[in-house]
Amino acid sequence: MVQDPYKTLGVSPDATDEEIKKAYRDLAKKYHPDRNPGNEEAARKMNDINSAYDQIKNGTAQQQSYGSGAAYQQSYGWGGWDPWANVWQQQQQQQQQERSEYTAAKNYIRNGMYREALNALGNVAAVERDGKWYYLCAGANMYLGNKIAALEAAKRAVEFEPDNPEYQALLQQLQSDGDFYDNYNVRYRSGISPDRLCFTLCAANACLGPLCGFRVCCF
Amino acid sequence: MFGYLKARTELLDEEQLQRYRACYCGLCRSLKERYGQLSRLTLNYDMTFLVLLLGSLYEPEERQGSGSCIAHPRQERAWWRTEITDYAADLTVALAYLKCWDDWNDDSDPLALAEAAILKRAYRTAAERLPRQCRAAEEGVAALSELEKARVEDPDRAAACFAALMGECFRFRDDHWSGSLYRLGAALGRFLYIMDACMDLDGDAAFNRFNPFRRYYGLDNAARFRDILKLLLADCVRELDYLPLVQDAAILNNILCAGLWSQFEKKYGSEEGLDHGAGPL
Repeated sequence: MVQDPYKTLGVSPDATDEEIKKAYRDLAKKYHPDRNPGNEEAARKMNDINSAYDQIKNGTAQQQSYGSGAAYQQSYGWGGWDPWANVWQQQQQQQQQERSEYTAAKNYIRNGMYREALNALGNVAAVERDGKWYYLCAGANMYLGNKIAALEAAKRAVEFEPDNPEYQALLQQLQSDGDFYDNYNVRYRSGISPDRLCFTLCAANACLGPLCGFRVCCF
Repeated sequence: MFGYLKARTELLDEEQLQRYRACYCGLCRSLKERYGQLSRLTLNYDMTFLVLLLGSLYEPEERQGSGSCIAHPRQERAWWRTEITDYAADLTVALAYLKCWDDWNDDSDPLALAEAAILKRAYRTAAERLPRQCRAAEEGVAALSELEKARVEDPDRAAACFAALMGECFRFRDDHWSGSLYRLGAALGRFLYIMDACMDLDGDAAFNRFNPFRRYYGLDNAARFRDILKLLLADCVRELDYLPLVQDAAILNNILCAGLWSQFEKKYGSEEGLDHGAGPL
């Protein structure tokens, strides 16, 4: 850890992402061990620069609810989903007995045993699988990092019970990464040089070019 | 390799376009120099992406030049090369060989066998130069082959095999960035595998070949596949954005934000209001 990562990189705390990257590059050129063989002071400085960069990027990551490195690995973009924490479902359950496979799957999920949860769910015959089955299946797959299976199962759960707010919430949570990509895409396209736009934009949109140049549609 | 990691050249400015083309030519020259004229057939844009990415991160010394070649005998073409270009050339032949070998084993394709025979010696050389990467690639291809044989139509599992392979290829060396590079490579590997499965679904189903999305054959899959691909791409751009890239960053972003969709949009159409080739919103 460095005390003030912005100071280490020589940028102000409100610097843009581009400025931070540029500052890192300039310093890395100066202090890189390849350019300073045997120079311990330069090696120490390079370590500080790397830590400062990581600190800033991870910090930004937390604020903007996305990130990389350690912070990203921990959260993986999805917050604490708990199959027991469903008030709406509990109300429904009072009227009917829950299947034992579902109770088992929920317990496994709560204890971090996601594969066991999927095994328990696998005991339910295909024709008897309902919205709740897909909901629990989506949750277990989500924690296993099986993004595709999780998304597909959550979609099925919502198809079964379109009005179930818990199913909708899980699907939305799973789809938030896709929205993240869309947002990144907008940011990228707003950065394309305006000259280029004259070629690529149709006449009706051409007036947007200069606006994008001033980064109005940037986040 | 698949060739999906390609820029939308109409969205690049003149300078970026020159650099992109010269990078590709540099890789082609490196292939010829290291593995002979025939190895140039394995040249692909996916590895050009890797040259630009690692070049932007490490900024190694560049050698530049121009000249004609077998593919363009009457034209002088500019090129630039670095030690990373040579690294990517080694990976190019290694992955091409493993793919041919795998195609022969899976489909008994005689053309694939012939190509594998041509590349066998080149692969041995590459495997000596990059033992870690080639071991991971062999393991990844073998794991995929197991799933295919057992007909395990689980897209996450199949993509994970390719993710491990690509992660190791992107990890150029052990240093401060190796973790980030591995994650970026793995995310891209996962994406590329799934993209290829989406693109090949009709053909695979028609010829009874393995495809993790076979259960969706014949359905209207454009929206479904787009949702999945975006989830996977989110991981890619997140990792790319983490790295301190300045040089060629516009080209790299062009590839991940626009170029990657070219072939998909040709086949499945573009999303309403979001044509990735249409420039800014």
